[in-house]
Amino acid sequence: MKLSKFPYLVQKEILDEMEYKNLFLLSLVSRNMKKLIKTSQKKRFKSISHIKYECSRYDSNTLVVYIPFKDRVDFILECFDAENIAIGSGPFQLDVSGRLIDFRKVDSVGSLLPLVYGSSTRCLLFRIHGVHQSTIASSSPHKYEFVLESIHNYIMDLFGTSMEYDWKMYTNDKKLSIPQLQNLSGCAIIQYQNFVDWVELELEEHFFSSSPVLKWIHMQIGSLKEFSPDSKFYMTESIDIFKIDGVLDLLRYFQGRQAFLNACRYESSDFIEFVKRWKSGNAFQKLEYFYCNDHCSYESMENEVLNAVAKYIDTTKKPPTHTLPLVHVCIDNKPNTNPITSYAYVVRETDGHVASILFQETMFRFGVWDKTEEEFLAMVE
Amino acid sequence: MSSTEQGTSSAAPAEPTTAPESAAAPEVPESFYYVHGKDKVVHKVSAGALQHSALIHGMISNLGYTEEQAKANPFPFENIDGDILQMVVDWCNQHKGKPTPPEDTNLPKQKEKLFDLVLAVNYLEIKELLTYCCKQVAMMVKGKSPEEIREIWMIPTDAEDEAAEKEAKKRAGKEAAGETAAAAGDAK
Repeated sequence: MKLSKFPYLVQKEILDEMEYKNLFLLSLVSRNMKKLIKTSQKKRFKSISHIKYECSRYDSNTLVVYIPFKDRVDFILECFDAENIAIGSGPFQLDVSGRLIDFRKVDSVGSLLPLVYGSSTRCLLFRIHGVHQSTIASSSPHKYEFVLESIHNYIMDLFGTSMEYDWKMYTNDKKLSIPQLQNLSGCAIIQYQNFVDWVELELEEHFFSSSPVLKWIHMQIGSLKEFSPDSKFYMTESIDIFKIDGVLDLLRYFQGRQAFLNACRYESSDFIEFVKRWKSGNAFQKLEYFYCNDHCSYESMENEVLNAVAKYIDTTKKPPTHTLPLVHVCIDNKPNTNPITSYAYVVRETDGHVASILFQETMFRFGVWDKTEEEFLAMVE
Repeated sequence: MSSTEQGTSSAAPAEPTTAPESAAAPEVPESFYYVHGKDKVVHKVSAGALQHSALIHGMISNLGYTEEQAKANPFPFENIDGDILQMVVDWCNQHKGKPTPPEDTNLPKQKEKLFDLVLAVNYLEIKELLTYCCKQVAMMVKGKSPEEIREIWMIPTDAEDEAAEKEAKKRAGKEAAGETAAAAGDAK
């Protein structure tokens, strides 16, 4: 059966019926085939909102690349660290973004022979799941990042760049490097750790300094080694951190739009300084929303902070409610920030814009309005 | 069941056999049309079954043939093998007036038959059957390695594509040169 003998629309319909992982493999067959896939599947690929790289560095290295949908995920490929993996049929080389990568066909992972790279029997395998078989690309561990980069570039070339590429990492490493992948829009880091003995996580500054500013970062960690105040980390549009130990200097250095800090304790002086700097217009110019909470109530410091910085709406009136779309929608798929309905507000000196401030039990919320004080007060009922 | 007359190989349409219609006879008698493929075997198919084919439906919608005229003028599909047309007719009869199921497991498993069926169905513009066929073709490479896919779908390598492109260019160049020479000859 010669595929090219079919009219274009039939070829397109056949490709329409194929899963993403099979299209990925088909695209590796020839340059013309890749071109056909890109042309015929343009609309389908444009409907992909995210391509996710999910990596676990706990015990061993595994990585899955998948496309999430509302009701399912479609895997493109997976990569794992294997000590004893065996090969079903001989290797064949494929050109993946200009890098020749060894691919091998395996019938089942369990019944194969070891693969030896130099003196090491460890290797990293990229596997694409099929029904009965898998196709794997192998790489020695020291070449892992290069191979990953090539595969990422290839995926970007094939599927396009209209979607967001996210990196999610489960780790128990102390020092963490995030691969330098092009067009990465967000990064989630989840630290595996014994809760009694949290290790301070150190993220390599190099990743932030040499990459474009990320759209979002999500972290669930024990504690985090501080970044330099001018680190691009603080420029991330949305930072969402659940942290067990220590205070984070986000309240001082954040330059993005939305920040969510869980389990972070600040003093009243920190809040006062934060609000004063925002009011002056010298800092936090892009800020839209700031949220933090702690295990203990902020009740004791509420009056002190508000008396130092805030104005109040007439208590007989009903204040307007602040909410806005999240930059990064998390696992719970809630599209907007939690509402702030507060009598306390502050006004920025430079443009007269208003921000609502709310202390509520263990939470502090600060929401910036795209409105002047006059416009804001006109919304009061 | 298909209303097919097997074994007639003359160009002139022979008397076809008719499949028994359902017990509840329609009030208005159903009209029938006749088609044949490369093997000249004539198939009698109801207009209802033929509605699946946008091509044939378009051809018959304004004809207003009588039974005799229809019999005397079967639609010739010389580009479709007899057995493939038989499959198509069977499918149209089986799915006459019924909603099509999400999957069809009765499609041919042999590659070449499926290939011919896809071409026929595409030509006859039978949308649902084309979708089933395309699904089946796509399933052929599910879980296969690139090399296996290349083999199954006979996809040329980059080198082969390049050589074919070069060859095509060379041929086009020669043809253009030939035309220029002929035009110069004519001018003289």
